[in-house]
Amino acid sequence: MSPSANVLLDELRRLANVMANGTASAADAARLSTILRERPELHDAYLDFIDTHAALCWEFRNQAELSNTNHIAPVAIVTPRRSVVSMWLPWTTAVFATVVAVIAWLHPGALPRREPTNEAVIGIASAQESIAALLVDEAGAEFAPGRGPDGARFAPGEYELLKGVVHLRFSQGADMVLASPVRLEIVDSQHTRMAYGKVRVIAPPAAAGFTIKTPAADFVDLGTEFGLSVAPENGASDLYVFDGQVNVADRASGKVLSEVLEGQSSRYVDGVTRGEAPELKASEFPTPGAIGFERWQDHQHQTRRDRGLLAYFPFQRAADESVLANVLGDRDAADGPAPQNTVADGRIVGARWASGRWPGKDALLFDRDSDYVQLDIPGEYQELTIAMWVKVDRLDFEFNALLNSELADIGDVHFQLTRLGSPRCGLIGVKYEDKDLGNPLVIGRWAHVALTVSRPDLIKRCYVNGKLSRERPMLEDGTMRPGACRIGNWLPAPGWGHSNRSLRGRIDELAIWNRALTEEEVHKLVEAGRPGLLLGEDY
Amino acid sequence: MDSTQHQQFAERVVLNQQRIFRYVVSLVPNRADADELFQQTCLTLWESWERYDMSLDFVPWACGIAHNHVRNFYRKRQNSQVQLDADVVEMLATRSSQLRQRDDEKIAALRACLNELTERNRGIVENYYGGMSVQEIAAQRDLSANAIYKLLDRVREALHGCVNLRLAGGAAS
Repeated sequence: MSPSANVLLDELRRLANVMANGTASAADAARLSTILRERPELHDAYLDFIDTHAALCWEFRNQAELSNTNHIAPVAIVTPRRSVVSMWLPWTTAVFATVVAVIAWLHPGALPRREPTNEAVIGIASAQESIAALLVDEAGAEFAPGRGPDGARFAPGEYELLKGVVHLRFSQGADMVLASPVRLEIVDSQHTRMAYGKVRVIAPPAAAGFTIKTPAADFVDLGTEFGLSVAPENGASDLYVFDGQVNVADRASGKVLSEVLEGQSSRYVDGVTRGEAPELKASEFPTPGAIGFERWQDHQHQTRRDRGLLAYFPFQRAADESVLANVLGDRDAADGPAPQNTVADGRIVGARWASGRWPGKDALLFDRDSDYVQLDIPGEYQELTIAMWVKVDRLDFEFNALLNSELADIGDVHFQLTRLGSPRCGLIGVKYEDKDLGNPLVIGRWAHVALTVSRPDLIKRCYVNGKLSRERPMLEDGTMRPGACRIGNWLPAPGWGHSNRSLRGRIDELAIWNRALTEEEVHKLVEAGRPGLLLGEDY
Repeated sequence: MDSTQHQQFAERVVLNQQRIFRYVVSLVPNRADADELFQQTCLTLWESWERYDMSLDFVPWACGIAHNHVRNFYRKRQNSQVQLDADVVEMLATRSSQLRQRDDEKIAALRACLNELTERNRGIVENYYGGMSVQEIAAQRDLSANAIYKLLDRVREALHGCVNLRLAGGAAS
């Protein structure tokens, strides 16, 4: 190697070192970029050197994780912004093992460490023992200090839920929804002791025998769904069996005191039956699906007060089923002045009410060429954001309308999906460049799509599930007047192609702002409205 | 995807996690940023497993997902001047995903090389890569932060040389 090449290699290593240390200056980064751009033959040397740094990071990552295990983030298994675990996972231990594998992978310090081998699955099984349950979902959850989960992991130990609702999945398959306040001890994946609180348990056959011990008695599930309420003052335990059978057993002897069947209830105090429990209030025992709904409902109040909100359609069926209500008019004085341009209720034509993201939540189903909602967005805008939740059944056409101005006049706004499921945002009369930055939405899954347009910044952006999917820098300013629009369809302009743009799928929630939301704001909308913790991502 | 496939997916994840992590570090050398991106990647893999075709090689698929996260990371920080230019990152990403780094052998060689370090140097490497800040290490050892950075640079280069020598079969084991 020539002396000059050696000098260059030395410089490359120096620059790699400052990059690794995080001490690089702007000049260092620029110089390194120049070298690597102009000397592709040095890529391998650079990558090889950085890989030694990477191997060191990996080797001691376990230790780094251990020194960071004191955080409690009720939902976030990975990062404070994101959440994991599925509400769609089947109830199988095999799947739980996989969940644990992923956790073991994300947090190697938390579980017995193994070298990657062909026996990895055996490693997963042994790792399972250290986690009794995982957090699946939550709404407003707050745990007492020192009595909360580690990320999403519930190891055996004491837990105290002060506020909110939490959904746990035990490794044997039982689901438990806790409505605060609750204090319980997780003994293992099949046994808990509850001091007080209300829980709903859904146990598949694999989890038969799931037992909750209370001060009054032991409640042994035989593969069923039930609610259990334990009073804090005397431990009185009220049992409601929604499906299947639960056996009530003596705390000391384990002798079965009674068998409570579907539709029945019981009240026990200190191991003695006191007849039936008081009349059930279903809302006291939230279902897993109710958690996301509750979170969304809480967030609605905030959304309605959002600066610059022009219209907000929650997509809940009204008395007049042909009306898509804009609830922004329901603002009170505390919400601040109403926006300048008033958007009236939408008129539903053809589209039918169907179930939305959660049980109890509505959506509109668009599945015929003639289905749409008529909407008028009066006024001219410098900026605009349109955001909605959509679940696409099929993409039948080149363009599939989400919300399109009728026809194609100057200033019209077109927000639609391509046949590949990528969002497209058009402003008629404005030339633009087009940059694809993300992947399309997934057919058959709820996805959040948002369009932001800023004329001052000359930019249009489309987001899928809070991530930038397409960016269109505008080459010139133009006007923006959405005017008469159709949701889920388009009134074709004579002479324009792709005249049929009818949507095949459901829409649940639509909000429109007179400003361009930031990526962070869009992400917050996704977090508040996500159907479950596992949202189909766009990668 | 049935439960057998779930198991297979989990197995591939566990087998290849180190490779994906090192791929991320190759593009984002800062360990805290890389760790965050690795975790985001894991989350996306986990969320996307139903879309993974079991007949395909896992590593390129997973690296593709990691690459998207890296690209987003650089795009969000595009105003920062202290980072590689986007076109260079793209070039490195392509090459890095093609390289087979003999991961397990390299880790084994690295462990042997770490044992050859002086106790003090090994301690500093362990502290640094174990999550302590350079300032904390400096305070603990009554040295300047700059001295720690220089020491880390030297040790990293020594380890790099030692590992390559061992991989080339040049060291007595």
